[in-house]
Amino acid sequence: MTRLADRLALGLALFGVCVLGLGTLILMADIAMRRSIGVSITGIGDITQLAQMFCISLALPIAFLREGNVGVDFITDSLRPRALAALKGCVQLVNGVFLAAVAWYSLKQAGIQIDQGDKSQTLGLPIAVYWVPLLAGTTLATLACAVLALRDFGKARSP
Amino acid sequence: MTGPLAGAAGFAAVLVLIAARVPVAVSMGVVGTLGYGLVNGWATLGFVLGRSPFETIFPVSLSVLPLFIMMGVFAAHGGLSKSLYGFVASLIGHFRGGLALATVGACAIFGAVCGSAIATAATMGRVAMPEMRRAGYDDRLSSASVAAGGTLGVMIPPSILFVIYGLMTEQSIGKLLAAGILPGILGTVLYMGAVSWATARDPKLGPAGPRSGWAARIKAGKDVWQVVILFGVVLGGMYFGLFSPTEAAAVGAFGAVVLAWVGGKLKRENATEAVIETAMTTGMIFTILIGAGIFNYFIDSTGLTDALVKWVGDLGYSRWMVMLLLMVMYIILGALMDELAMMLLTVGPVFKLIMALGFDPIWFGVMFVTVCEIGMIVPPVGINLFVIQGVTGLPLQTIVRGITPFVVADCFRLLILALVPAIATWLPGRMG
Repeated sequence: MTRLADRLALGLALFGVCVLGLGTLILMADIAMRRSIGVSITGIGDITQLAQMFCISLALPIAFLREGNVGVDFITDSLRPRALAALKGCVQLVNGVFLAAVAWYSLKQAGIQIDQGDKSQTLGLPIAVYWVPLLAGTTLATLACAVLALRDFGKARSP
Repeated sequence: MTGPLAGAAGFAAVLVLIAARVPVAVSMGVVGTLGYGLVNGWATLGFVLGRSPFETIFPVSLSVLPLFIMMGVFAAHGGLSKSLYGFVASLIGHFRGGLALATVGACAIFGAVCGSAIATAATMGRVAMPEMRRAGYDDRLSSASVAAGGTLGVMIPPSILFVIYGLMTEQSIGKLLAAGILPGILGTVLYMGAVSWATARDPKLGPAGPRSGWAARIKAGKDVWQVVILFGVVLGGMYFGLFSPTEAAAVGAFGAVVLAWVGGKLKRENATEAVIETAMTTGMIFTILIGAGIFNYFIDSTGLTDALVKWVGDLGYSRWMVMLLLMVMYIILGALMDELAMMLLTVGPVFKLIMALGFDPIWFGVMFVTVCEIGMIVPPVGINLFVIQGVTGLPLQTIVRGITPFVVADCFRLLILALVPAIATWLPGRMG
């Protein structure tokens, strides 16, 4: 299950960075056009913002799944292996509950903004387009924490 | 419990959770959520949890972060570090401790295209450590020179810490990046002084190597132009007002990818690794930003910041005494927690205090990043010590035993920056 989750998280992360790369190319084209013929790409700010939302949000699951978040380990490293595994499982539960709360309340907030008909500043893109990556990223990061919690509690129970 | 006391209790609760292995980001997020709910009522939770994460990652100015991360990662994977090290080693490798000096110099130059201390240390560690071991260098000096040299990556622009500081305190990112140039050069010189001092005391730490001829030096320098161009375009573009920080970061990221690709260093596997590293670092940094955003909602609502400013004012200390105490506090905190987390956790209240005391915000940013550099090489949680341990497989004690001269050099730099603030403020002051 961990391997499947890793593949999914990896695929999302790659997609997110590729979207940022695409946004960078459009931004480069905008700079070149502005400097050479004095014409700017309409809504370049909206496009850059969208690319950044995809890259950042879709990077969240892999950061959690591969335990890439900053933390302090040395205080608890001396615990016995099973106790340490149980502690790690609890930490993953805390991570998961927090992310689930973020995902749930973000969904509600997204609903409010969509109902209000919010749009991006220049291109008029529906605000939902900007919320989707964040909702996907936090939801999948929650699942990643659940997978890791199962793994760690499994280790804690094994003799 | 309400008011500033609740804020102080919140800080304590974050530290307890961090000690219990909860990631810094989640610790701040959980305490911020519960604290805000307790102080302002649970009905407000939707507002904090629903809006804060989106508001944290939505501003277009934040796109500089993933772009600078991408630039640094692709520069590292593109083999620029090896070219740089070879060139600097050919110039000064024949001196006593010359390869350690070259390591510091190459770290500084590599820091000009990579805004992360961890990436700089890891990348240069892989390149420089085998060379120094082959030349008979003592592991204490070689590992410590990479660990310390790597920290120059966060002072010399582009620096991720400066970008985040700028976003949090609403200071000009371009000016902050320019402010890091001279202190970065000063740091490089002082680190080189630390290497010279260590090898003068014990020449066996870094024996002198053979001198390279000019032909070899020119050959070694054939790829260094890439770094010069990348740094020149990104920083020069921002300094002279040709690019906004976002555009400069996009140009830098694009340039780093193109140079790695044209140089034939970006094979499929290597490119995938670079993309994953970009995503992992981006995810890690923004998770902390989201957690800090929620936590700061809570701290603001408790009035802790204003109480802190008033309390320090009532103490009657001179502003320099307050600055000294802050620096000592940050060095201790930096030894115990990650520097990015330390910044996000404390800069809000401390910045208001700094402004109330009349200090220059750009200068304070430089002082702050300098103490962050110290925190990265001081045990028990100096992140660069662990990075070098991971790269070399050396025991942590070996690296720690060699680090003292570099920490002293950093403290000396802090003192010089306090006595001559113009080192940090002169360049940004000349910007438009």
